[in-house]
Amino acid sequence: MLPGKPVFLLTDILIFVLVLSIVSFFVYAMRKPHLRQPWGQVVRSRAGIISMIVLSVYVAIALLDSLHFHPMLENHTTNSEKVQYSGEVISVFDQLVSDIRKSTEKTYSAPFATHLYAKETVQMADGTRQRVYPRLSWGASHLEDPQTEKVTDVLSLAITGALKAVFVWMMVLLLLALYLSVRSAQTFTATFRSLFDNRSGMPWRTLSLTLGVVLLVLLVGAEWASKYHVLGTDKVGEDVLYQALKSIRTGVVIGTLTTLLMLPFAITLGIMAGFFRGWIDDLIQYLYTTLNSVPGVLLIAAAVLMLNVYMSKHAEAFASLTQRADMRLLFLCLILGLTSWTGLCRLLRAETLKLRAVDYVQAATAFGVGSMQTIFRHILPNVMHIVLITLVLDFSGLVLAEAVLSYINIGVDPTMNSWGNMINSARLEMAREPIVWWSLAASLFFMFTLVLFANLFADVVRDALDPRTSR
Amino acid sequence: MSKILLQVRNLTTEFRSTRRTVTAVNCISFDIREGQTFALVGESGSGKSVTALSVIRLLPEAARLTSGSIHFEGQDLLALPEREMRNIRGRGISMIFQEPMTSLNPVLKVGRQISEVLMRHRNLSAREARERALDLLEAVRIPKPDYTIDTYAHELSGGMKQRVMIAIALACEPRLLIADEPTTALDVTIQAQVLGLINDLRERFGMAILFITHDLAVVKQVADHVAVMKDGVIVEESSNEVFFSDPKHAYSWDLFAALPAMEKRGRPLLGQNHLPDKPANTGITKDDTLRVRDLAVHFPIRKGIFKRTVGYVKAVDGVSLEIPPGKTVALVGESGSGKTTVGKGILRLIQPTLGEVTYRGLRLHEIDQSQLLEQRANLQIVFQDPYSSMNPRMLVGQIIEEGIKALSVITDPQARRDRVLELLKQVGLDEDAHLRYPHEFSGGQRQRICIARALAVNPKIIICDEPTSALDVSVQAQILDLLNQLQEQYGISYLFITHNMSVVAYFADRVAVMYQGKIVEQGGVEQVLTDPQHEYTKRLLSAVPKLVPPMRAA
Repeated sequence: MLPGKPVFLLTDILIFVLVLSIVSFFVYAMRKPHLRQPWGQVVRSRAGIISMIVLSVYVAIALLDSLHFHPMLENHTTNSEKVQYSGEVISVFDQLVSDIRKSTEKTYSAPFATHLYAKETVQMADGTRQRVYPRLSWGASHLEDPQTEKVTDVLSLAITGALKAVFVWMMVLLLLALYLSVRSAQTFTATFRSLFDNRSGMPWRTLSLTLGVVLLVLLVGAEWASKYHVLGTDKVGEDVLYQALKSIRTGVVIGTLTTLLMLPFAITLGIMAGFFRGWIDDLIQYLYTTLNSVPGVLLIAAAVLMLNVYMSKHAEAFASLTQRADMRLLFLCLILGLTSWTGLCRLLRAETLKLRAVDYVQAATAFGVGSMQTIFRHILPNVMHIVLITLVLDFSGLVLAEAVLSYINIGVDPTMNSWGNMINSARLEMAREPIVWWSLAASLFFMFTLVLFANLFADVVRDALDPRTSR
Repeated sequence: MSKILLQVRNLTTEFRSTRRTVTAVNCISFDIREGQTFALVGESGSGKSVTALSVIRLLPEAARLTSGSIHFEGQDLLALPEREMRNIRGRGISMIFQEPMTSLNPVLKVGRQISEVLMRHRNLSAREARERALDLLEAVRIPKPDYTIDTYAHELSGGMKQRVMIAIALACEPRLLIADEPTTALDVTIQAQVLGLINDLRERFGMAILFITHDLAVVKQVADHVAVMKDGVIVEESSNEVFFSDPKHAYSWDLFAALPAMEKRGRPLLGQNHLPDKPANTGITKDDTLRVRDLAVHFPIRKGIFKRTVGYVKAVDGVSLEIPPGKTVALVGESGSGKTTVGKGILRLIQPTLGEVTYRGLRLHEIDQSQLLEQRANLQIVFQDPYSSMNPRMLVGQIIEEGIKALSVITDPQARRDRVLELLKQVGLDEDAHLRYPHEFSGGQRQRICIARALAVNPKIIICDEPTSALDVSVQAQILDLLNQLQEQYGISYLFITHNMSVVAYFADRVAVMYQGKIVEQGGVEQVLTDPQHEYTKRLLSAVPKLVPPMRAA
């Protein structure tokens, strides 16, 4: 149960629909040998399994961050019948990390800092005023004498985190081995040992080790984050790690929903153009050539400005700031999708042109099978691999596009956490002396990891699905 | 006897993948003497090409030479470092491949590709290399060599390309030429020219040839010595005369038995019957003749921004045919003659430009979609390529069912399923095939499924578009037998589109010869094949390599 009144944002609903459809696709694919074979190849490749584990961490955070609600007000009295809810909208993820979400400092502080990054005039005990770096109100506030204790404290926290990680890792592996040994009727010890062996066709060792490393990073990070600002704080004292983690949802939403929104256009128009030829083909070709020749950034800027005007005129339509920001995010996905469907459309048109002359489509025509049936039974299933490949390949490009667009202020709402916004605000801090580097570094690191593993995954998927590369 | 040029002993080549090891060539030994043409014959997958690639050491990565030795002019090829092997390739041994379309580099001029080899191996200057290249083009009998030398590959026809490939292979006067199915992709008249050319060049340059083919008739024509391969093993090796008069191995006999020929008409090639012989009552009457009058299919050539039609490609230009019930009409011709377009035009898979197609009083070329739908059940088609004619994403059962469903032949799902199982049995496949995917079947089995799919709607006429040309001879024999049985049982007529004259001689009742979109001659099969009237038919027939298969004494 949520500790509050749930709020359903549009993007939340869409992202869960997407996840559900992906899961049901995999359940479906498991039963179809021609689909199981290539996806089995994805799972069996080492790069595939590593990137899947890392990506699933990102997706898990994004999903947790997509369950929104109005929190219950803590100070409501038991005698009042009506439960009071706060006006702000937070997510389950916010609730989980409420420690670092709420513990803001006054201004900048460096990663693992005990003191602020800027000097302040402080009234000393003896009444004199001095310019000093004051202690942080939350970060490392448990330390008596930060100078001497900090290093040992950080290390001991790391060790605690590592021990927890090892414990959890072992538990997961034991459960996995138990499950596998029941399924394969092998002895438990043999199964457990095979988890550290890549030779059985499935890269179990890679899986186990990646899982270990991911758990280590997560749990040590969590341990540190419970006492320190691991990646420092920004200008208004907000934890940078929290911002970077919150940005994951924005990135994932843009990367997936955009493609989802463009798919209907690309698939229908592409297949129609290729299948029916003639004036339909001409019309669709002219449409996408025209759209392609309009500079994308210009179109997006115009659309976002229009939305801004609309929103300020209809301020009452949006219950909260979060909803407003969410609307803008969805709109950005829509407009990005509208400018990017042409590539896939072109690919699908070409493939359909090819398929339409293939013998089995001709045979269907000779049986008098109708156009719609031919498209759904013969064309669509045979162009699906192109759709999937485009989907995963586009993902990382879109995550990066968000960063660029937010940087020039036509991306997501400024109140929404996103890597683009982080970079945008860090831009000014780069000119500051001493330099504040951690906002930029954090957003780059998180974005880089996501894009890197998304690209690795895309490569594996393409190798497995593309009939020209599969062996 | 002349000296031994190439000596192969106990050669074994394996393909390794993570899951299993396949032995492609299993401990084979043979010798090729100087000036000799040594033919390696076998069906697909028998290891012929792998043997050749092993000799020239161009095996794909997954393949390993696990044992054996290869000596060329006394030199151990397997012991040579790659650097020296490169000198052997081209100068000592060179190779021509099956597919001339993809063996030439499309962005380099032909002359450049020949002189490249000369400059590499002979250290000739660019000018000398060009002159030598001209000589070579002349030697491979390319008309106007000084023009051809400056053309690109796409400007040449298939036969010309193969000549250029031969010229490249001969550039450094190799001692041994490996020819891997050099004429399989070519039309029969071009094949005759290329085979003649290879033979002449062998005498002129005094080289030996390792000739790889699946075509026994070609072997008979070119080879001195024949080795038959099956499953990676040489099962029989003897001289040309001995092999073609008195083959020893049972497999060789099987190969000969599978060859269609005029002499075998009316008998099954393999002597197996899947079907009861009683003819079924299909309601085909004597006047169910399909008549094609002056059929023409013209493809417009469009140019410019408004796609103005500036001319036409006349793929089919006035074809008249009759397909009587229960008979087989063969439509023969070389590639590009428009045979396939005729088939598709009759079915209206391509809309004919002119002419008429009548069947049972209906003018098929004019009727509207709903009437056409009714006639779809009467006319069916079987395609050439068994790999592309089935949707890889559908189960075999669904594939066969599709037509029954679309044409509402049987509406009850259970009855439909029973019909699918019955059809599978008729074409000689197991019943459980309906729950499997097309990729689980071999080429011949797939062609059976395609035939079952066509049969599903009880057609009266099936257009067979080269249904056996992608198959091995033994599989071809099975398919021909099956088609014959179906004809006997159901009285189906076939329009059999092919380029293979021996299939025509064995299988067809009437034959129509097509050349450049027109039918130049038609008539009864014996009359046309034994006494051709038209110039082109004569040329075509004389180009076909003759082979009268030895008959096993009963």
